[in-house]
Amino acid sequence: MTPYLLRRCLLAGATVVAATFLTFLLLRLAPGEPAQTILARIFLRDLTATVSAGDAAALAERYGLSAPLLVQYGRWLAAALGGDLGVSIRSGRPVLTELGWRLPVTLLLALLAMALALVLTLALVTARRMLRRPLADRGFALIVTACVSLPGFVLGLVMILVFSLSLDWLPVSGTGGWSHWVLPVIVLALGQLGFTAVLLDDALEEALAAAHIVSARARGLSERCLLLVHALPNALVPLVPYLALQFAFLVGGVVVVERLFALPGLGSYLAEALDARDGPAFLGAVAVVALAVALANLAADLLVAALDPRIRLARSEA
Amino acid sequence: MSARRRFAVLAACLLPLFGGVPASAETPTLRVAEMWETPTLDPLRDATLIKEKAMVTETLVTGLPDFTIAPGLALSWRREGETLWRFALRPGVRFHDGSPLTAQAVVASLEHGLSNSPSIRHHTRIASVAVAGEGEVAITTVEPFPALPAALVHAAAGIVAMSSPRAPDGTIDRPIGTGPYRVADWDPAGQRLTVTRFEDYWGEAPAIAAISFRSIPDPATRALELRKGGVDFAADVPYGDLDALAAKGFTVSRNVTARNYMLSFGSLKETPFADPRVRKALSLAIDRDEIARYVLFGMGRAGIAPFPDTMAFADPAIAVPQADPAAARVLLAGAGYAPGADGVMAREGRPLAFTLYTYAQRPGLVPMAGAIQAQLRRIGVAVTIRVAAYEAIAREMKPGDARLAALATAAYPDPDVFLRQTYHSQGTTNSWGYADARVDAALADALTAPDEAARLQAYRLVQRIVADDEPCLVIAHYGVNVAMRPGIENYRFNPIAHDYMLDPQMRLSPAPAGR
Amino acid sequence: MSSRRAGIAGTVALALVLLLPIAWGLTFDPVEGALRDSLRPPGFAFPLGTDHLGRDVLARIAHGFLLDIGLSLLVVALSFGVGTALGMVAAEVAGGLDRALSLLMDVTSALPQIVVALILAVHFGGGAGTLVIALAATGWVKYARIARAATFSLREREFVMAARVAGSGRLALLRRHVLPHLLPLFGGLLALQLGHTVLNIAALGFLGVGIQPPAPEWGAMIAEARPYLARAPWLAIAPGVFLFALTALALSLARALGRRRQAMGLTAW
Repeated sequence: MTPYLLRRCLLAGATVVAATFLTFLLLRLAPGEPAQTILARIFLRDLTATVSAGDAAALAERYGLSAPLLVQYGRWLAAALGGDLGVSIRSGRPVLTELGWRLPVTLLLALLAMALALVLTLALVTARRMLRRPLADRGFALIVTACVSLPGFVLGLVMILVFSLSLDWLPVSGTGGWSHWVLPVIVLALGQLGFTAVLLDDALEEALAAAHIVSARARGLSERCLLLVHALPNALVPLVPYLALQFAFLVGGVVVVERLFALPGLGSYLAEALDARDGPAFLGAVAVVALAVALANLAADLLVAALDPRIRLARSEA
Repeated sequence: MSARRRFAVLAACLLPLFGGVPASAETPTLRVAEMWETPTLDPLRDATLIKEKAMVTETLVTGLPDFTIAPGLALSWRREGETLWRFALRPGVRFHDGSPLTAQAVVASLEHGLSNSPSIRHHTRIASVAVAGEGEVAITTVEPFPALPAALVHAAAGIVAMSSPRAPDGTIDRPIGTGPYRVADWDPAGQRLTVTRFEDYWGEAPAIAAISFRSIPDPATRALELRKGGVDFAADVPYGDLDALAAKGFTVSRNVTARNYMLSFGSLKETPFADPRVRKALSLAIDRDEIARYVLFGMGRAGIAPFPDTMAFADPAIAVPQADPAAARVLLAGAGYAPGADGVMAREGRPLAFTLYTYAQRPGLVPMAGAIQAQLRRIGVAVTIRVAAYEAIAREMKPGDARLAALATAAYPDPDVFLRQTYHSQGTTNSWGYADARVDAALADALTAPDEAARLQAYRLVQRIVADDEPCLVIAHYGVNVAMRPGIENYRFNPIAHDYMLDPQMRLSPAPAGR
Repeated sequence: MSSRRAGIAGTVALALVLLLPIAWGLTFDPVEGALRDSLRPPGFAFPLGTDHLGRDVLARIAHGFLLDIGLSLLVVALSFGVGTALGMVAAEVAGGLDRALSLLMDVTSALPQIVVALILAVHFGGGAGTLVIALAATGWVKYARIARAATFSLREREFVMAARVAGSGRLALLRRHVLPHLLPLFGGLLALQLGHTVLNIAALGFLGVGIQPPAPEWGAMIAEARPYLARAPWLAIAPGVFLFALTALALSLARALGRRRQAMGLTAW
């Protein structure tokens, strides 16, 4: 493995450690007695009764709340590397098991949204290039700005009002069948579309200006052929690593969309764990999100390096 | 692993998400929108779901909608000493796994609960449980506690077989009870629980073959799903939607339940709230009727007493006073407050201002805090609202602050627990330090009262004293709404429910065509 | 040229459409309301209707604008200040400090902003302070990257070398000779971050970890309006439209000020 690759891998690890350590610190430094909080929240849903000191101490022992902070984090990290993310305070189940249930939902949502965003991007950009009229340019700019500016939770609400309630076409929330995915995927994809469209458009601009295209044009090839056969494949290559980099942005959208459509995914798990102050679950979810983003960034780095040796050199020097 | 195989594995993981819900077409299923997350089926952690909603477990004693008690798994009971009780079990009862309900099984279940849930110890005050003979259980309380039979109505005291499958940490994963429904399918990932009719149930067989619960914690989503036909039954839908749902043919049931919207102060010592005139002025400035009408949309009832008069042990003589800002200002003036430069009432240079903490989980609280803020501003009291997690409030709140919460007033049908926790000088909820010798004496009398009538008189005395003294302000009695699609019959609301209870006698007719 | 003029005209028109109602709304009280007036539809007395507590929706939108834009500007200013300073100093000092900063930047940019805000909310609860810290803590990286790269290249330029030889101190050098050349690079990015921050503040308000009620914040207003969606849809739609318009405005500005690619926030390095 080259030093560059090694550095990027280490960086991915450092990212996950930084995120989880920060979370861990903030969770543990929260004022008050965590054991008391846990008990009040878990056992006494009516929230009125109180808990004896003995019960609290037993619980603190069970959840390992009494050791020094760094030791506690070290223990957590060591266990996490072995695949043990601890036990959820709310459910008493291993956090890893629960994350395993939630991950497919988020993964499917993200993949479908990315795929849809890509398809729409291709359609939008080629349409703009093929039409090549001022009106098409303006329409493109309008659509791009609108997509970037439209908050997912507003778009989602409006779509629920229109497609679920008024037209009665699609379900409102949850999972269950293919129709449940339509609205969340569209909302998430439109949030991405603005960025990907601009990216591809820029890349296309560059590709069309490239020397072999210019010479092909001189040879009398049709513009349509130039665009679809020669320029587009070239433009798509740099787009892929950018998409991976967009992943962190996508995760933010996932949290909102899962909340809005009550999808049992990673984003809603994060929000639920925060709401219940379920430390192990929250920490585990943060770890998975950070790992996913770090891996996506790593993949982007590797792709870029594979595509363009200059970057590899430049960045290993930097 | 080749790329293709990897893809196949990924597809295998994701494909089930596209599948439909397991066929519910052949067995008519009642689809319920549950209002809390259901991370676990452990009956000690989610007793309300397992006992009151899913009807998987049953308690020794049953609570009826009129707040009286009736035999449950115990046919009869008698008090054999100051702290000793004997319960005779109902014969012929079987758990879902076919094993009989024996005295040993009941003792094991209660002991499991007592040693794992502080809440049960706290609510029932049971010291020990023992087998007292064939089909008989002896229960000893830590002090004379006449409310024990009522306390055993508490959902967490439901009897569960110790043979129930356990989670790795020893908690119960899938409860096996004696109730009319048994756990059939539990999908923790999708937060779905399905229960089916238990054919060997000792009582009248339920009409509905299966009930499925899906967790939808967001009230607005519950209402949308109900309208859309995604669920048949939902509770606590947004108050403003009820009229529209009723107009569309949905059955809407609005009920007052055993829970109060209460404004409590950080401390009654060395704060402005120590002065009863200040508390009274705040109480008079709050327009409870307006709040019940416009904030709660009639879901709930204006109230000042610890219990609504729909409860059997409430003192019906306590009336809700009309809001009277003028009288409130007079009271404040009497307490030495005069308008300061910014219009805020102040005494000795200290303005009458506080932070009102509340939490967002129950839909009425945050809007109600806003309404109270506006109403108190009219008499020159400055309120800042802070919304925080419930547990965070106790940490952040200072003595001069206040909290608006919706507190359960009858986890089981007896007035003792709530009055003692809230108003006794040693009460566990009474963190604000209210102490009144008359209240303490009456609560002590209640435990040793010669008969139930005398006990009730003692509790009514407490209610009258605190309704007059107002150590904490009751704003309204909580309203729970239940909305059902047309065609669900025989539903009867039970107000001792924590949230809502299902009724085994409910009937389901097919959804009318065209919905 | 005409298309550009049309674009400017459109932006100005959008700004007017956005700002005129806001100016009008600022004359009303955003928190005071009579319960008897709750959930009134838009009309003469209340141009955009009232919310569930009888408060004027237009007034809340207007005051929410001040709050959202104020906080966003604060976030942008903090990100800009911290990012530029760190980037310049790291490039000037170079060596270990620079490597540490690079690591910090890489780690920070791998954390989704919304997730960082959720993490901070664990400890601090929601609120304006948490919000600003969370968004600024993730927002400074882009400025630092640009400042660092530009400082590296400027260091080798003649006028900077000359100043150094003339005995100018390091800080003075950065302030007098490097910073002025950096500022023009940031125009597009500043406007872009403003738009993103407005969106993020609203999203966090919607998730309930942002600004606390009864402060009028657009995202929180939309979340508050959800229970009344069927009965009073304007409660959610009105702030949604303003949120959309404000973000679109900021992004149009970003496009006008910066290069396209920069404008969409993809200055990955």
